[in-house]
Amino acid sequence: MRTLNPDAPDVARPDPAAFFETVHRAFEHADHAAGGSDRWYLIAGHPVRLRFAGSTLIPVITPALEHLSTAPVARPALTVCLWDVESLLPRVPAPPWRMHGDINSQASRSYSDERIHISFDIGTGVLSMVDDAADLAVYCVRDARRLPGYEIGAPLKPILQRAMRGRGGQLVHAAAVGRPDGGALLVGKGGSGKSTTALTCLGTELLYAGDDYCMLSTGSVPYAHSLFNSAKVYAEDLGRFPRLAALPSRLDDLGIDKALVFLHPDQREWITTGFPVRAILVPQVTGRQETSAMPISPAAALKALAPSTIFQLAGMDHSTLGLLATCVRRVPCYALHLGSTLSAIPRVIQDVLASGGAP
Amino acid sequence: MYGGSGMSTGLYFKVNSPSVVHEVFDDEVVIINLDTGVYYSVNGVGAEIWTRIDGAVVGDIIDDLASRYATPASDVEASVRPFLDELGAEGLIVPNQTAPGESPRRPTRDTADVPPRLPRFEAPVLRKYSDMQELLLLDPIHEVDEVGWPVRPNGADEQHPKDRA
Repeated sequence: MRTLNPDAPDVARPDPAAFFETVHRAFEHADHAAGGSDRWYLIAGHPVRLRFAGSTLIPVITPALEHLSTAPVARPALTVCLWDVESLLPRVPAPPWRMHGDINSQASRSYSDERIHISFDIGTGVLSMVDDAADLAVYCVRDARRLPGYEIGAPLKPILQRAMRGRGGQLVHAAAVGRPDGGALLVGKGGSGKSTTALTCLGTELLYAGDDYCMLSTGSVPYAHSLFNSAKVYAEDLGRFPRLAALPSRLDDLGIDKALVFLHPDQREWITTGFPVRAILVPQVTGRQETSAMPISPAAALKALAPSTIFQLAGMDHSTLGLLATCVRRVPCYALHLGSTLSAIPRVIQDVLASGGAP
Repeated sequence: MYGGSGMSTGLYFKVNSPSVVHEVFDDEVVIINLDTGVYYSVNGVGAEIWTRIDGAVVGDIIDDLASRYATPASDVEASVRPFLDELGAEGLIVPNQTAPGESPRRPTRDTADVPPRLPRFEAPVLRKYSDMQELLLLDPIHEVDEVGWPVRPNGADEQHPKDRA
């Protein structure tokens, strides 16, 4: 094992497109050897084909997406090649992270140019790559058995972000609840209460589009597309959500005691594939009993939405802030002061949506 | 980088793009430093200064604010200079090196006709938020395997930031 000095010049700088082709060929070999199968999903309205080499990854990746299952089409918008090869990565040359990069974090390294996006998540051991010219992506997992719950509950994010970005979509760190005629984005960093707020809406008139991520289409009316039907809640909090507690769940096997629950298929009636965004809500936990909503400035909403989106998700760049700013300028924004009576929260959100701009 | 409290009034700056991105709203500017993971907001006089950073000479900014707020230029300067120092220290602005013979870009509008944002001059304030910084802390020395793939150093704990789970 050698230590990498980031200031040292690159010794080997493979061509990104050639590197993509190298890894894609590896997938084709794996597919030929192990056999393959396809799954199809409608992601932000676009048909996406998942090609699985072997079967190991199917029960790991598909549950979060199953509510978006769709019929095959002749021309998918994107084809993703997925496989799990425990010993593949050491045989593949490292990609050119340091030629120039996106926003790198402690947990990931990435590279982007006009055609190719590459990201490697150090924590999950997942290599994600997109070739825009071919509408082709690869998702290579070092070991499916060690994939953590936070990836199983929300897989393929770097790929979906890159692929949908060229189609008017923007992956955001936000929960989303609403009705087919309109709903709310819940924005804020982890621990701010957006996931809990989304979970309180389960089984009410407000349908669930996600508790942590969704795909935002930034047209004249922003639209929130559901990506994952998963929900995450600390095991000790399951009692506060009896409807969730009744569903099968798995505790994150990395020991952080968060239960991962899939709402599909058992509670598919709670789920929506998306809605026009009519309000942006910034949850804030208060010490009071009652919940209320108060208008806030678009700038305040942007401060809640943009930093966690930009710094948590791979594939963001300098234009992301502008896209998010467009959204907060186009819909009313509110602080959602959360009270301790959880059952009252959905009514306040419904009142905000019904008011069309005033709580 | 520049003279700090001794900076020349003829000095001018620019936003440190592309590392720094920003959005201007009616009453506030949201600024993000993509390299550090820190984000900021300025409003009032601070927002006015920020929207003039690109291409404006420091002395002109000071004179303009003094005129619009009917405040002695010395008073304005006493708070604007530290503010600019702070913007520079945070990596948000850098000196604008214009080639000899070229003039800095001047605002095309007559700012004397633009009403001030506040009823009276208030010292500009840079609000700083570093709660996202932990997601971006770079590990400058990272272990790699034989062909260059990053791996966690032996014995390092798995990362479980709250935002990832």
